[in-house]
Amino acid sequence: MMGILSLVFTQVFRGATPHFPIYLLIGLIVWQWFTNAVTSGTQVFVAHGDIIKRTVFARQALPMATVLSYAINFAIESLVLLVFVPIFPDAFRLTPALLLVPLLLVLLALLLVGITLATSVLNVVYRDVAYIVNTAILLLNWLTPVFYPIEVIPQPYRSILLWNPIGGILQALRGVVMQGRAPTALEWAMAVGPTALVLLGGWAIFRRYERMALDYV
Amino acid sequence: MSEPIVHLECVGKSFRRFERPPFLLRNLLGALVGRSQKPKEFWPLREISFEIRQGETTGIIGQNGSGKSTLLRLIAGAAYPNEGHIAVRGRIAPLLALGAGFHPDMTGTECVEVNGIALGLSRSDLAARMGAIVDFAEIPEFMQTPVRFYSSGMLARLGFSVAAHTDPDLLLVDEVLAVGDHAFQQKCMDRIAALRKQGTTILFVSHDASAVARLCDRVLWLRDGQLHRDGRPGPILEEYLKVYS
Repeated sequence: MMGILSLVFTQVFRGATPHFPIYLLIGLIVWQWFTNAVTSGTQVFVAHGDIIKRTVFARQALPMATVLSYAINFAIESLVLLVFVPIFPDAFRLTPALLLVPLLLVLLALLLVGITLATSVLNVVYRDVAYIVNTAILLLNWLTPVFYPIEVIPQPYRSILLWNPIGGILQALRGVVMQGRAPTALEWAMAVGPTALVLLGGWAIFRRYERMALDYV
Repeated sequence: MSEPIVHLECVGKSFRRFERPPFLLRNLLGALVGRSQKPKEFWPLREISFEIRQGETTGIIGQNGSGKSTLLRLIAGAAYPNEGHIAVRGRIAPLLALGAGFHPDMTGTECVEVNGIALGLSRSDLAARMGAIVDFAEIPEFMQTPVRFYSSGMLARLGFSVAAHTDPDLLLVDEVLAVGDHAFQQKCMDRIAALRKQGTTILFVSHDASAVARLCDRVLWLRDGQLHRDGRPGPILEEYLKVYS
């Protein structure tokens, strides 16, 4: 998958970004976490209807656990990235900026929790939410610079694109790993701002629909 | 022995009954053109008020659909009332379904651990009681087997065993014993009687009038979502059996 994609896209975007395979790989593993967590997080209440109906516990734990369980997948996939360090030594920068990686990953996890808190309860009440989410993920895939270098998007669209919740985090991660560059204030804003909004919104929706969801599951 | 542990005041629960299943897109479009679907409401429970004092064993009887399970779910906190107010003190052990919270791929031991912790036991408490739980369930040789291979009787045994060994303040039992064989049912009844002696408050739904008569100090009879009778088991059970036979 990774090989095919990088072969195709390296040809398409020749010279647009240095070390495109690594750029792509980082995009792919982040994106994997995103899709896996959001898709199964959306289903988690419907799938575990019995537990929710018959036992009592802090129900927000379910979407959170889904996000964290895919964090394990993400960690394993990240190990693949290490294999590429000797192959593309110039693509990685071992600088103190790497210390920001955990912080950015926590941000990503919070973003995922925010999204799944909302979609998991909504999907119980409105069973078409899972389909809407799948379509939205497809669209977001192309609105996020996963497969293409951000440079191919002309301004002003590029800046607009980077405000999408996952785009900011992804670009910050790439900057830290590949260029050893800590995000600028604006880049932090693009990573933190949408995440905070999604998290607050997700929590609000969860609180509003949680009780209703118990009757619909 | 006289502190109210469960207090319900004019509790009502409404469910919506849809003509068509609710879909977000249809509802949003419907709202845009001003033709939103008005779900019909119905009330499986309404204007329920009672108090249960610490140490009481209360049976809940009524036909199918009279609101017994909904009432237990409300008290357990697995559903919320739309009207009125519920207050419950202390640790609740809800036994609302066979092996609820048992994941099919987990082994019996793992399910006991997850369930026990969910019911409020600490890890050390749990370790200390594991032996008693397994002994009670009488399936020691299956404890390392994933529960998807269990029979419904085995699930019931294990589920009841965990809940009955958590020293709850309030034990809620919803007809789950019907699956066990006679000997196990008898054992559960004895266990309930023992818990009752220890001062555990017990609320238990059953269609078995003789079990209710034997175990309970008090009976609540639900009929059409209303609290039809509330009092000593003898006369109420007599009337109940007369009405439905």
